[in-house]
Amino acid sequence: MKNITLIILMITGLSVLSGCGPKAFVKGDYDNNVNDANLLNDKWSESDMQKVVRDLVASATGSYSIANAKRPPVVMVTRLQNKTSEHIDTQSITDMVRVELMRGGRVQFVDKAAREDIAEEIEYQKNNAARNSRKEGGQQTGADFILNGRLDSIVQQAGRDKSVYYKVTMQMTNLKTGVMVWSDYKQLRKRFKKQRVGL
Amino acid sequence: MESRCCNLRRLLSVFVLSVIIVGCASYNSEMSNTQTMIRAGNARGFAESIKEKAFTDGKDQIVFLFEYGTAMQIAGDYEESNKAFLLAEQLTEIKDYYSISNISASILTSAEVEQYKGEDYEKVLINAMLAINFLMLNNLEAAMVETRKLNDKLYKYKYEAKRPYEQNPFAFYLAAMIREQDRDWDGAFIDYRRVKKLKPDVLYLKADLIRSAANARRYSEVKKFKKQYGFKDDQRIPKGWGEVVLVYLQGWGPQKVPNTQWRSIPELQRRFSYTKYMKLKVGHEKESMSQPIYSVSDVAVKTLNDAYAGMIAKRVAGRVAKELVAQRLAQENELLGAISKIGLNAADRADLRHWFTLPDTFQVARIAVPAGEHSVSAEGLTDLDEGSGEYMTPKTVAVKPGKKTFLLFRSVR
Repeated sequence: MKNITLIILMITGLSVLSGCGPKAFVKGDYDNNVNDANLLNDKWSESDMQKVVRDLVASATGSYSIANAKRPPVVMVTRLQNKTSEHIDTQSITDMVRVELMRGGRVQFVDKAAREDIAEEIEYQKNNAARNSRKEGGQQTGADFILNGRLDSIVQQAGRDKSVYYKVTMQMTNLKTGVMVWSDYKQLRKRFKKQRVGL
Repeated sequence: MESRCCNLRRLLSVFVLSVIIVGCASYNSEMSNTQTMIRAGNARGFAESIKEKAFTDGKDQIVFLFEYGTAMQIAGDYEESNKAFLLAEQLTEIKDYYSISNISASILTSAEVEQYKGEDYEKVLINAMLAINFLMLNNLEAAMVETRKLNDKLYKYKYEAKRPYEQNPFAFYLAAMIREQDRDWDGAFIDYRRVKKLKPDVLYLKADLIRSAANARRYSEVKKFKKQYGFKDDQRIPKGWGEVVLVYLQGWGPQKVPNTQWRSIPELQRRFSYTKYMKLKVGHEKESMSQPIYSVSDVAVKTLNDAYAGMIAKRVAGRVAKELVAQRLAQENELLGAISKIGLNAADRADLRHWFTLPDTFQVARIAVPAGEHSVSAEGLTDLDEGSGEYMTPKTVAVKPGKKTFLLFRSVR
């Protein structure tokens, strides 16, 4: 009886004090292998991105249009639509795809986001830059292909169990003919268990 | 001598514990000035006053995040509002487990000691608020993400056989409008049909169902609803036209107060609002009255009524536990027993935490107009259709063909 009373008082005291007090992450450490799986929670993670990008880039570079091109084709990345139930920075995925494709040296890219800055700089150089270094308008290389896609997910939850399925589909379309020259998808499914009771 | 010292230590620990519980700044005391500040147009000032509590780990963090997010939404700072709601949503998922220490402590002291996790209807409304914010920020893709999250939650509740009123017709209506904007006609029709099951008296629904079914090429449904509602055409919005949609958050939801019969459990008190509806006007000719789609008060009352049995059982268990502790201490020292009984009972307060700044009802008003610039205004009306004195500041909005221009107004009087 005496022990029970003490235990009740201790639990009460601890939880009251912990409820009012601040909590923060205070100890940090570098994880040197950023390619190791990171499944801390049920959200889209950098591990998912790395897996998806690796496979899709391998598929794209092995496609006929890139593997057999006489010169590295020029590609413009447009958009990866987010059709999931998570806020995912899809630009980060397309950035990674672009970088990995460029590293392979088989593809070149035009930067759609920089167009406004380029036009402004060309306009500026027209009146201000020395003739021998001045860049004229109308000299840019047009893209051969556009690269885009979508990211879908299906979330299923029953009791303590949750599964999250992702599918990233990407395609490359010939700008001149409108023919889709490459398309592939990568699927991921992750399973999680939820803690129902804790201290 | 040793025994007296030990008793004194216990007396001190019980006293300190009770003081901590009673003294732990209650959520309710923080909320006392909320309505006054917001009515005075100082929603941002109120938000700033609770910002630290909203973004610091603690048992009330989720509910402070609800209030902070809503106040920032009223202040028109949708980015900041989203920060709070996104964090609140994350925390409701993380904290969704039974904590043995918290529950034990709450039995012996007060339910306020437990981590606030949010009612199910509040968790659904986080996504509705986020979707509204993203619409105001013109980020349709993110608004769609919120409607999908919302669907996942509602599906989970359905799977877990929760009560039907946990389903949220406003969430479905909002999702349907966003899907129409995204040209997902089939998805829009399905969501409008869900609204019909939950809230069939929304006036817009008749045209919504026929139009979305026609756009989704569900011809048998078009025929069925035309016959049911006596419409002759497909109710499609003419080509080259768009829509002005006012999302109207009306008044104040009910407030939790100590129950008059038993003060350690809460009861809900409805809060009066003068403004009950908004009349949306586009130009001088077109006007439409807002339609209530979801009543927070009704759902909150039902939720609390269903929770009473569990709450009473817990408080009865608490009374027994307190008696046991006091009796045990009284055996050693009568004064110690008496003081601990007073201390523990003083700490036994009703848990009054809830999303205080929620509106009373969620409403929508919509008007189809030709694409172009239009002057838009909205006037608040009372129950008797008289002007309530609240107005949405008139503005000029651009309407694109086939698109919706969303506006938000929150009445606070």
